[in-house]
Amino acid sequence: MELSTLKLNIQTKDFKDFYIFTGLEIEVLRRYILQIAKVSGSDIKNLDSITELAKFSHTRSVLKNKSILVIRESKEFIQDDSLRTKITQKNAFSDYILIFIYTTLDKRSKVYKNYQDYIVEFNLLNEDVLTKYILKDIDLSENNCKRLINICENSYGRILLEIDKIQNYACVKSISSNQAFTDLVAQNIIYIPPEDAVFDFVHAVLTNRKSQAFSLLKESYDSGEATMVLLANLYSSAKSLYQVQTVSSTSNICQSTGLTPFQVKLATSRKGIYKSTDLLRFMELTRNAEKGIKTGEIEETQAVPYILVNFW
Amino acid sequence: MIGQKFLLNSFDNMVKSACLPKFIILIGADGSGKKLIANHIANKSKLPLCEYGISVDSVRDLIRDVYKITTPLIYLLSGVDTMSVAAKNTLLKVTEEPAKMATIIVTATDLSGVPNTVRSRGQVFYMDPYEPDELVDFAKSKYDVTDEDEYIIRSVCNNPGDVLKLFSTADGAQGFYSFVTKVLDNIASVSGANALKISSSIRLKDTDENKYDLTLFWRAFMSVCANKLMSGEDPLKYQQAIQITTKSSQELRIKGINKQSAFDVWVLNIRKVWC
Repeated sequence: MELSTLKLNIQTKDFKDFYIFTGLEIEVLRRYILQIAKVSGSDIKNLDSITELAKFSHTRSVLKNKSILVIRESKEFIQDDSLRTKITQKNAFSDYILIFIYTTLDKRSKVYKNYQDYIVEFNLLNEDVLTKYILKDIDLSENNCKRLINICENSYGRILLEIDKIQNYACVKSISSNQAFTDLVAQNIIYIPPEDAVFDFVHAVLTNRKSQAFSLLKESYDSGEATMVLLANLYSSAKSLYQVQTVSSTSNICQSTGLTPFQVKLATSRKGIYKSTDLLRFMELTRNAEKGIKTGEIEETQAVPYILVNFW
Repeated sequence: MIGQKFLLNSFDNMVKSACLPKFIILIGADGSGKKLIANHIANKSKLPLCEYGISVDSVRDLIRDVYKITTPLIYLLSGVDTMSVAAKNTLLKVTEEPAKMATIIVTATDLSGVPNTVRSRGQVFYMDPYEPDELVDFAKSKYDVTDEDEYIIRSVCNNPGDVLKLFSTADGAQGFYSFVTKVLDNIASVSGANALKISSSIRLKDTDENKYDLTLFWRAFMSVCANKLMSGEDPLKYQQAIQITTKSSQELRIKGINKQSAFDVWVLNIRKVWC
């Protein structure tokens, strides 16, 4: 189901018996639920589990006001076919609008395949839309807007939190929003996601900075990073660097390479620093390490040191 | 069902003489028709076929159900070689103490993935290989097949599943083959970034749609290389390409292998020898 169809449902007040909301854009999802509640004159009840639905089944409201029942991350709804059939049959919960929320939904699952007309995906918004929303709330320069969007990984909910920080800091220090943003980033009060750290690690490895490489590796282990995730990140970082470095047409790098704008931005900032042959060798070593773990040839804890030792 | 005459005949005779094994292990490649055989057995026996998943919980549900049923049923478990160790151990129970009313059919692509303990308690049947003519007839029964399509089917497809994958994209068999030849002609001459972008047309995830199957792509690539090798055109180049592609295709058998990185490394290795 497209988001536009949901908007139409809200405008015409013609709601389905249930919806399945999925996606990483939590803030927009939340606002749609509030909008549905407002338009339908309903209150929102958050249920802890699907078993609580039983008390609402086949009940009628005296006031004839619908309620919205929100259930988050219910494994039973995904796994139990008979339960799901009972819940989703017509008029099972006629005075309620059920909303099942999942951060991610496996596209191979039966739920995804059989309930496409009820599933609404709330994907992360693109840079242009987010810039418009940011500028509605706060006066930031275009560069700072882009930077904020990149730092918050296009998550509107996170952007709102950071805007709140920036506004409060600017108010307390009596400085402009742009200055406040710069200060907060410099003081690490605005958290920068670990993807930069992976590029730093790749940079340290490819420029032969052994102590920095091992120090960053230790940091990633201390933060609980799984080896396979680290290997996947290392591989994709090296691949992005290689693709950006060897692309023939610089006019539309995203289209030429298939990379996201964020990946292109990170890779472009380090373009030309590394030899393509070094990047290829690094990719092969990372891939061999990943294959070795899966075939049992390499111990998982030794996989990344294996890459470093073989590379140097 | 096309082909499999010997296997179908064997099962028909077993059903007729009421000596169908209680635990059947069917081995065959993906798309070779194992589920169709199971359906055929169920139809011949005039019994319903119940399919269960291969997770631990599904196998436990199966065990709970097989001992409770009062009328005969046939149960099917697909892809037993990809089961987790816990699920395989749980399956042992029902193979050690067969239920009176249940016949269990399990399918696998690789017999070595089926534990010896489970294997020893069942009867193993292998899917017969398909004749190229049978595959062409199958394709003709479903699609509009030209002479060129027929040549491609004979070169690339091993079973009906491969035929279905070949025609699953919008541009059909000929579009697929022209993509393969285009990759072969250009992989060494384009930039590194463009070479790695070849993977965007290949089905590397289960959820990818309207993309070319990776195994078929490599098989077609090797077939084209073999033709060029036999024609005497730069034999070393094409021989190396066949070696690299064979090695990469074998890696697909490793459980959980990252197909994206496997394909990327294949591209890079081909470019290494051809550039």
